[in-house]
Amino acid sequence: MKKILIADDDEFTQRILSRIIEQLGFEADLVNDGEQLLKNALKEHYLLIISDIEMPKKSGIEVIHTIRNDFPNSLKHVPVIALTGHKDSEYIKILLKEGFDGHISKPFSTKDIETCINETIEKLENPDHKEENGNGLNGINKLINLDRINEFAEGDEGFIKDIITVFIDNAPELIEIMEEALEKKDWEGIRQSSHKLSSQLSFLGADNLALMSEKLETLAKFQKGMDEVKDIVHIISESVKNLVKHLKSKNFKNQLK
Amino acid sequence: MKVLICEDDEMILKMVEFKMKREGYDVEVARNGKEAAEIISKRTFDLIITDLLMPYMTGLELINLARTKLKVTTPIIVLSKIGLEETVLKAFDMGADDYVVKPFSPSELSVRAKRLLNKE
Repeated sequence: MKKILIADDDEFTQRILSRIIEQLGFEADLVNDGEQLLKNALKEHYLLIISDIEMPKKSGIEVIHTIRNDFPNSLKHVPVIALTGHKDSEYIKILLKEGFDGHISKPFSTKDIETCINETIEKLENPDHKEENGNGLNGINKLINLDRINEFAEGDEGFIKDIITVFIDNAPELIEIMEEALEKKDWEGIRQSSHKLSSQLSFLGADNLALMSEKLETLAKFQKGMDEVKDIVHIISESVKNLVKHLKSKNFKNQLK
Repeated sequence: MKVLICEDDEMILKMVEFKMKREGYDVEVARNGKEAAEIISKRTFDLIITDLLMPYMTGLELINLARTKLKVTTPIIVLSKIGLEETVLKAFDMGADDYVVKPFSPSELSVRAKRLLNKE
């Protein structure tokens, strides 16, 4: 139970992290990509998983969705910490809403890692905290807030369903346009698709995602920060796909009734 | 009362249309500025509600065209995600009568619409 899994495609980060973890008295397992992470996490009960976000084969976001949604009950609640180069608070809020238990920003110190492990152990011993990181329906309820749509609906449930359906139909298309625009370095395409997405998300009460899209729109407008733009498009795309998946789920539909 | 809603986003169009119909307005819709321009050049309305960022013709271009070339005096409410002062001022300068930032509440839109129509 004292094993910690580290997933990062950067060997340098892997080495530093594993050394710190071993110095703190834990054993470290190292993997290079998201697929290996999932394989390992299915085989063993780790005390903690520390996962990079940008990894080959499966990203950190895809990994956290798979663990929280598709893993057996005995394994799906494993604490997972996101390792990221971002310090942007909206970005980090999204990571937490997606199901991560915390984050460590690069470059990190030994102290950061120690604090993170201690906090994880504390939470495991004090299960009250678990509620905060609910996934599935609870998680998605935090991801969106239908108050505004309800205000429009004035009790007409058919209308709410209609609006959700339009979003389910539209959003993946917008994401596709956004990703294509990113590939072609088409700033105007990124700007338009993020603008539209941020409007829709704001009405759905997905505030963090809406703010993130807005930030993307601004970056695209001034045509700067391609690396940051790439990361933001990635996280928005994964989060929106996850949101759509949940809006389509039976659980959510039943809840609307 | 006849309202023209000009919005390229299907979800927001549906929401605004639903609200205005509930309030008892006759609603017509256009999905971009160009389509709206064609409609207002042929028919008159009591109120026009328009988005800003749209394909073919933006909301600002539509307002400009309506006020200068088409000589339309119908009150216009702008709906926009952009709350920047620069954009808001530009919209008023072009001839918009009101400006609502998304995500607005349905009651706010309805009150602003009524206020403009009572002035008429």
